[in-house]
Amino acid sequence: MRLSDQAAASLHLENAGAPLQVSSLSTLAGLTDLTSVHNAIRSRLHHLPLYRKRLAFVPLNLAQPEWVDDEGFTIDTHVTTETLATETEQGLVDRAIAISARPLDLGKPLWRMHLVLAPKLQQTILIHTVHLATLDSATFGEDARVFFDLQKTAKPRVARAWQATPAPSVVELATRAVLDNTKYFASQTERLRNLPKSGTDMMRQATESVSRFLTAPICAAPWNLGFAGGQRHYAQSTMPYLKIRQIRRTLGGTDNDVVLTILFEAAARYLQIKGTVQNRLHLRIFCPVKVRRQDQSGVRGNRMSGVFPVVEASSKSAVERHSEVRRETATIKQNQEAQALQLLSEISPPLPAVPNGENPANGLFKQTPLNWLTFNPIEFFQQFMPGSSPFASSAPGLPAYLGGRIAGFNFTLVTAHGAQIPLFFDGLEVTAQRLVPALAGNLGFGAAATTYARSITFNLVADPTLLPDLDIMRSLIDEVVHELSTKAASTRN
Amino acid sequence: MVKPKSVERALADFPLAVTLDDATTLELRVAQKQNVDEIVAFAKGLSEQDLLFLRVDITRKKVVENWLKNVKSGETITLLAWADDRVVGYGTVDRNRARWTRRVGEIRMNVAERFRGLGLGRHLSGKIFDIARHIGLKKLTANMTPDQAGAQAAFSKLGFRPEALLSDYIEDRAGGTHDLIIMSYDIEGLSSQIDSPLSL
Repeated sequence: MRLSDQAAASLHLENAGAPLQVSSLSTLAGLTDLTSVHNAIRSRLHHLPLYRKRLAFVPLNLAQPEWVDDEGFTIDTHVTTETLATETEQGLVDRAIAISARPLDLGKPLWRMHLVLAPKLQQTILIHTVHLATLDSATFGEDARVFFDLQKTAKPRVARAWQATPAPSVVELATRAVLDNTKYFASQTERLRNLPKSGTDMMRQATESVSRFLTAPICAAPWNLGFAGGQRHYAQSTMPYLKIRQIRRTLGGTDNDVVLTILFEAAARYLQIKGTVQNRLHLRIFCPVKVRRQDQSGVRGNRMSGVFPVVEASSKSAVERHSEVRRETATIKQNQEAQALQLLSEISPPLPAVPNGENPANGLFKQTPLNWLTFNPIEFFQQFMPGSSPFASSAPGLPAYLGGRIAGFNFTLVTAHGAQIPLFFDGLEVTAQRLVPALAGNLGFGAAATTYARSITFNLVADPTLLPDLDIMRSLIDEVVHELSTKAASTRN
Repeated sequence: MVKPKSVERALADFPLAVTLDDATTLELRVAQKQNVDEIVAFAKGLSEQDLLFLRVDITRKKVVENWLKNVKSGETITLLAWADDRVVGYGTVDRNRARWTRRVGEIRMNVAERFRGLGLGRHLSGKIFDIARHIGLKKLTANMTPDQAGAQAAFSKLGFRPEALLSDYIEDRAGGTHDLIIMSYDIEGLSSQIDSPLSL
């Protein structure tokens, strides 16, 4: 199986200090042992074929690499453990965050599980890290779910026998690449020839959506003024999920609208506190979403796409922000922007193949023509908007982008709706779940809204060199939630 | 009861040919009252293990006739998967008659053993999911046992999540009790997917 262009994009976009990988942190009530965990994981690996495959790079970069069986696969390499003498849960979480930031080895299957046992707390934290290249058409939660049970005493599973298929030779890889390229171009030609009117309309919409990046620059937030490195700070705000649902029931929209409102307004207030220029500028978030193909084609019937809601960067009341977000998401839905962007990516020319050696672990920094996540806003303005002088008062080092504008988006928001009843891992109850989203390029801050067992958690991650005071952002989230809840309660009464 | 226009619109795409992962082509059609014998024949072809967990005993003609009465009235919408003149699977959404849960629909599915693992469940669940949304249901549920990992995976991909686990809630045809998982999908809930499919 060949790496898809979408998956390849995640390899193109990452850099040495900021690999595009995501981690979930599951807190387990009790201590576990490695042998038992190995057996539990081994018995479920057949559900996730990519967990035993590595990338085989094609000679001369004729095509994207292939996923091939890792003949040297051993579970010991991917599932490891350590014991920590901490007496606080924060100490445990801090250790887990540090581990989650370690790059995966691109020469092996792109996942890792590490367990940190804290005997003094009688807790274990499971750090499950995967590279975005393995999440072609599924969310992390969908894949990770296979390792968890709904009951403490789940039926024991038996590991299925597995024998690695010998890796293809260099000649085989090259030959298959040529044949696949031929098939690809033939099918694309046929597809474009038969594209219905609805398809061309959607392409127009997609182009218009993308062009918003070029025509509507956004506010340069402090965390966008540099490239994310390898350090991570994490903060969270957890509350009953019911709180969000009550706001939605009263003020309207969807739970996603409420979550977007909270993050947008918290970010706007952070900018206000920091004195960042905001007037007439906007904030934009990238929200990865799945789109189903009507014909259910694709490995799992889903394709990854994204939406890019944009709102005014100036701070306002939480209720006004909610109205603004609802208008924006209604427009996005009406224009079918996620579907349109997916279509655009499907009919676009293929991405350049990921060349061998582009392994963040090797410390290489990549810059490709399509590397727009890490694109340099200074060059962009100089090339496309001469005379706009956003850098007029540039100071040494990173310019202030003064005019305060950049293109692209300010941060990523991942949403993951989890089980609403407790899950179990190897017989231990999962008492909390956290998600650590990836940071890359000039995105020094990211967020994930996750639900689990009737709670919702706003997971906030930042590179401390770009956003050193993550606790301020967390307190602003709590402030906005409080405002919305108060309004919802008064409306109900 | 006359079927409302929303139902007619939701069913306008059918019959619909679908291609499975092994290149077999099947046809999805809306169930009609004259399909009783084919459904009973399908049910009788299920294994004893499958029959244990049927919500109602659809190997009995009378039961299937009652089911199809609900189809006729619009209370239930059922898609049948046909291989030539044989039913090889079904997907159905039941609207709850109780007034206070009228926004909730329950999805059920079953696929003949020969067609499992080929994507038929994915096709049926996707289409039934789209129909349920089109007819205005706001929350969808699917019930299964903890052992039905395949069903849990199929519904997970549609955004369903485990919402409740009820102990010893169901009794199989042999008298044994089992736990029941209720998975649910809230149209207005937190989600990372776009409900409307890309249709080209």
